[in-house]
Amino acid sequence: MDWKDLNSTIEHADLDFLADQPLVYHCHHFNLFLDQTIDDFFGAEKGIALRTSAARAASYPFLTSLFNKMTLTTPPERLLLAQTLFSAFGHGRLYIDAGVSGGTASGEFLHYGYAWREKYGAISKRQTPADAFAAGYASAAVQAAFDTAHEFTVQETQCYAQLAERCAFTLEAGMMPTKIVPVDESAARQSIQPPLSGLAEDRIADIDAGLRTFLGGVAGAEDTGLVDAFGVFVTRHLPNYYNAISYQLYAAAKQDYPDLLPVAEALLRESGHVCVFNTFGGILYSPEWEAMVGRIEGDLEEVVSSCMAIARALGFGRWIIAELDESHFVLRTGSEYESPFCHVNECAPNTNNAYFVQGAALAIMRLWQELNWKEKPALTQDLYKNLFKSEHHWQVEQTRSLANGDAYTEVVVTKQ
Amino acid sequence: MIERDDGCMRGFLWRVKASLPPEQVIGRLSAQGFKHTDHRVFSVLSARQGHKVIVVHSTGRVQIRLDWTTPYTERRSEALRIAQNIISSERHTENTV
Repeated sequence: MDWKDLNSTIEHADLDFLADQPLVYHCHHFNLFLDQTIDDFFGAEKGIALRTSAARAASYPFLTSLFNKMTLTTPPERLLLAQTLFSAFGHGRLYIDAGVSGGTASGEFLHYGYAWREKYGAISKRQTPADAFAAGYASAAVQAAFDTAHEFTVQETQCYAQLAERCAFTLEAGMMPTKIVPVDESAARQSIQPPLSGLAEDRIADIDAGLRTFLGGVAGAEDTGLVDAFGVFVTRHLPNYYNAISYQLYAAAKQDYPDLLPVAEALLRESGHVCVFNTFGGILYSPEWEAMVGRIEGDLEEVVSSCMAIARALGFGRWIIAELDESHFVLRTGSEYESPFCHVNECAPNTNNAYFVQGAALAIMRLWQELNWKEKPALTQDLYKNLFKSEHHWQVEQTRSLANGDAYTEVVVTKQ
Repeated sequence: MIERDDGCMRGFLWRVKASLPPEQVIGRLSAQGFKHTDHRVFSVLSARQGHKVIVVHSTGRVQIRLDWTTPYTERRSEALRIAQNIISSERHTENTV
């Protein structure tokens, strides 16, 4: 059996799985931003520990499910598959040399470290290693490969982002406490609701189908283990990881630093801005888009419906346009990847939980209004600051949540 | 001959400004050893070194997408070299790609 045979999609929900474990596509801008948010809030040492632990907690059920479904029984074949998938998903090349008591791992072109150095290396010197996701993944891979009762602590001892030639890790038998309940396909199915229909539905569905066909063919195409699609570093990633770190941030802010809770929420929301600006923007500008859909001209419904299609194709859920005019956008969805996690972990017991969807919806309207679509300026960090950090007049509010038992998640964006 | 193409990456994406029929670009690069993948409405031509050229069939847009490992200081010159290979009518061997 080929691992690709274990891919599945809940088509009416636009949620994707491999071996019953949820997956989404995200690019390096989003990945780096979310990781940095965690480190900024907790401090680097605690942030790295939290991210590594979350990566292990998300990766372990993913890998064990995969090994079981493929009936892989020996540690070498399991480790080989874990490493192969890591590259196929755009995370770089990971080499694990470990046994039941621990060992080492090394990495080349690791997504986080490589992309960090590419994006920030010329302007900043990194003080701490960047590859907590790879570290946690390696820890999970060794535990799952050898089927040990114990876990593995892991340290990144050298990192490409800190100008090392390659990344290196040490693994030791030990405990890595995990506080999360990962979502699997069964849990996701319990959360999703029947699909909704909105504006421009035919257009969105057509584009979604085309993008999905294209994305299905790009994974694992690069020798480096870095995946190019639409001209950005793309990863196929575990939403359990994103959710674990995001909602641990939320919980810590709420419990220990309530004054900082609005700041934490704003940063989680901003991850949606970062994704829309860079990933959605990059896709809309790309030659692939121009060929498959046509040049984007900047019309309101064209831009927003295009973004709905991109979100669906990336596995974010079946986002629809419920209402739309030049000062008002209502995004609804009967499926998204944040609420199932909140539901099983009881981590955000109110309507205000889908921070990524909130930020993305807001960013879509700002991007439509403020980007000069005729000139298509380069999507630089300076432009991002001008568009998203400047004084602005848009507000977002989440008014319904699947996590709260509502029939859909609803986000309302209004111009003030 | 080339300019930075739209996108969010630092010097990886370059637009070829020459107006050439898509089939001519595809033919020239294929003759130089680029592997051609036809996606019906666009083509991806991949060099062994990892560089790619994307050709939009309907509009003729040509984007050079450099391999991620290309050092920053070499990106413009590398893109220019590929663009020259596209525009030049000379045939090149695979080793020049």
